[in-house]
This record gives sequence, C-alpha cells and structure tokens, in this order.
Amino acid sequence: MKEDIKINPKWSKSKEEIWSEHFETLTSKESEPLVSTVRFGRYMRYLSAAAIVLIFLIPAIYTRSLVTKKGEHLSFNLPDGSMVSLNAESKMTYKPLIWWVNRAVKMDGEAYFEVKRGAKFSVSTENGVVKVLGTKFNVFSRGEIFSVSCISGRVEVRSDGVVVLENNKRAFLGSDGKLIVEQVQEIEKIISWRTDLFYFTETPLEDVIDEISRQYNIDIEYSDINSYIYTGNFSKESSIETVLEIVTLPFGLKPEKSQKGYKIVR
Amino acid sequence: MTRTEFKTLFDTHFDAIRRYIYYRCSDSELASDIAQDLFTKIWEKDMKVDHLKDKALLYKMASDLFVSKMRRKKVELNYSNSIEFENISESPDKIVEMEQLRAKYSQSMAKMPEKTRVTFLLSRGEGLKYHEIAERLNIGIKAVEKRMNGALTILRRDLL
Repeated sequence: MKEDIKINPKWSKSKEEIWSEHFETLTSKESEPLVSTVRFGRYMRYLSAAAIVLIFLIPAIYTRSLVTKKGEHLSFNLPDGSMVSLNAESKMTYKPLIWWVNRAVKMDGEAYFEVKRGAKFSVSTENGVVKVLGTKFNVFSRGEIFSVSCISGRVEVRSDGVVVLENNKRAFLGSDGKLIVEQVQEIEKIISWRTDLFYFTETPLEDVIDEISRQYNIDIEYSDINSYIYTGNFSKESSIETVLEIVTLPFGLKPEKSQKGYKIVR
Repeated sequence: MTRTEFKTLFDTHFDAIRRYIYYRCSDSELASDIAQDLFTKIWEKDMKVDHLKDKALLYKMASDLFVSKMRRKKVELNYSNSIEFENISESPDKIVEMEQLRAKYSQSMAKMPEKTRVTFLLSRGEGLKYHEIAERLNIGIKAVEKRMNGALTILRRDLL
C-alpha cells in the first residue's frame, strides 16, 4: 500500500503561467551589454549613498579642541564672533563645520563667554548644561563643583533642576546636588581671573590652593585642610611664595619648599 | 547567460525546485514563491548556472533561500492536499477511508526528520532513482539508503 502514493501539490499557477507573467518581461528588458550597466549602476548607487552619508557625517563629527595647561589663559573667537576665555587647566570642544546650525560647546574647567545674539548657544559640562541667547557669563565646572555666573543677559542652567539667571546672579550645586541661585554683589570678581586677579569668597582653602597651583603651574601638596574657609584675593603679579603665605597665614599654616613644588605645613 | 539558456534552465528545473521546497514546508504557495525568487535572483545577478551540471547548486541555493525565509517560523506540516493513491479506485464508499489514510500518511511524514522526509518524497513522491537523489542533495548513495530505511520504518510503524 505504501508504495502506491504519489505526491502532487496543487499549484495555483503552472510553470508556464509563471514564466509568461513574471519572467517573460523580466528577461526581455535585458540584453547582454545592459547586464554590465546594471552592475555598474548598482556600484554607483552604493558609492553615491556612501558619499552622501560622508557629506553629512564629517561635519557632524569634526571637532576642534582648545586646551589650556596650568598657568595658561587663552582667548578665542568662535565662528560667529562669540568670544571665549579659558582659565588654566581647562578644555573646550566645538564643531566648527556645523556651528551655523548648532552653537554647542563642551567644556571642563573654567571659561568666560561673550555670546553674540543669535540662535541658541549651549555649554555642556559634566555637571550640567548652560543655555544662552546672547549674553556674558562664566562657567566653572571642575570635579563636582559647578558654578555659573551671569554677568549680563539671560542664562538657563540645567543640572539637577533648571534655573534661569539674569544679571548678577549665580547658580551653583549645593551639598544635596541641587541647583541654588544667589545674588552676587561684585560679579566682576568672578571673572577677575581674566586679568590675573583672583578673588575668593568663603571658599574652602583646598580650592584656593588648587587655583593657585593651576595659575602658577606649580605642584602644591597639602593634607587635612578641608575645614578652613578663606576670603581674600591675590594677584598673579605677586610671587607664588607671597601668595601662599598670604593665604595660609590666617590659619597658622605656612608653605615649605618641597621637591616637586611646595607643601603646606603647620 | 543568454535568455535562451536561462529559459532552458527554468524549463528543466523550476518544477523540481518548487516541489523540493514543498517537501520541506508543505506550502505550495510558499514553494512557488521561493522557486520564483531563486530564478529571478539567478537572472538578475547574471549567475552562470549550467542546466545539466549544476543541479546540486540549484537545490543548495533554494535551500538557503528557504532557510533564510523560514528562520523564525515554525511550520505545521500537512501534506494531505497533495497525496494521491494509485491503483486504488476512489469510489464513493471508500472516500472516508481515503481521507483517513491521507491524514495518516501526512502525519507520519510530518513526524519524520526533515532530511528523511525530503529524501522519501523525492523517491516515492517523484519517482527519482537513488543516484539522482544523491546528485541533487549532494550526498552519497549510502546516505540516501539510510534515510529511506528510516522513512519506511516510521511509515510501517504508523500505518500498519
């Protein structure tokens, strides 16, 4: 019994029907020479697709970096005429080829901006994002410390929370990590670094010493000085010894020369 | 490949290829589609396929197309629509019996491992000789014999 079966699938179309409906026209379009143009056409399509991708991709990717080392300040003009000033040990990157479409910079460290009126301008840091329309402001983002001061114009600061700053206002991250806004009396002091003058208001001594080290490009060691809070200023015209003495004296500390630079001792 | 050569290839092998795919999935529409896709591909990519020497290549390409289409799908196999009995008159009083027998055959074939089933169908369903099956599937004759034995064992067990 099992020998007697036959398998005959029920085709909806016969082989001849399929040929005339599909392959007849398919094959009549092409003759020998055309086959190679089909292949060439395919290559050209891949090439132009790749070229188009590149044309869009390269400007989107090409990034320019500005870096300052310890002891260096740098002023720079962006393609639209906006101005950036970098403090020591800072880094800023932007994409020149798409600047006209998107005015966006990334930075770490401290920078002062004078932004020309125009499309949105944004500054991204690890601690938060600052958005402006046309204004003068200072951004400080080092480690976990984040402080944005608006000299003139309007600035939007986005971190854990969003705030908008106007003239003479500063936003910074409080101990709980959220943004706090405060009025600033002498806002020019915040950007005095641009003229080599450094002002500190109730700043932990650690941060003061770090800034001195940064500006003079000299290693300064210290230990256990968190609890000291300093208010005062120094000018880079003074020698580093003088500055360190002035700054440590109130706390009964003094600077000592060491192999690498200086050490703060009792 | 010229148009004439392609037509010869098509005329010689189109039905065999779609039958082969049918053996693997029991879906005649799908089988026709895949066979059509295969020949379209051969023409559009201007592949050099000899209608006499490249049988195994055709089956392999069809198999690849089938696998890539069916990658995620689980198919339920049902061959009842294509099973016909020779030498048995399908008289009215035997119709119910025939239906039951068809169902049994279909179930039994569905249970077979795919390679066994395909080999069995090429032999009994299409009437190919063992060496012809070996050539198309690119396996040895001993392998064909082994699969046929397996198929017959399963059928005997299920039908008797």
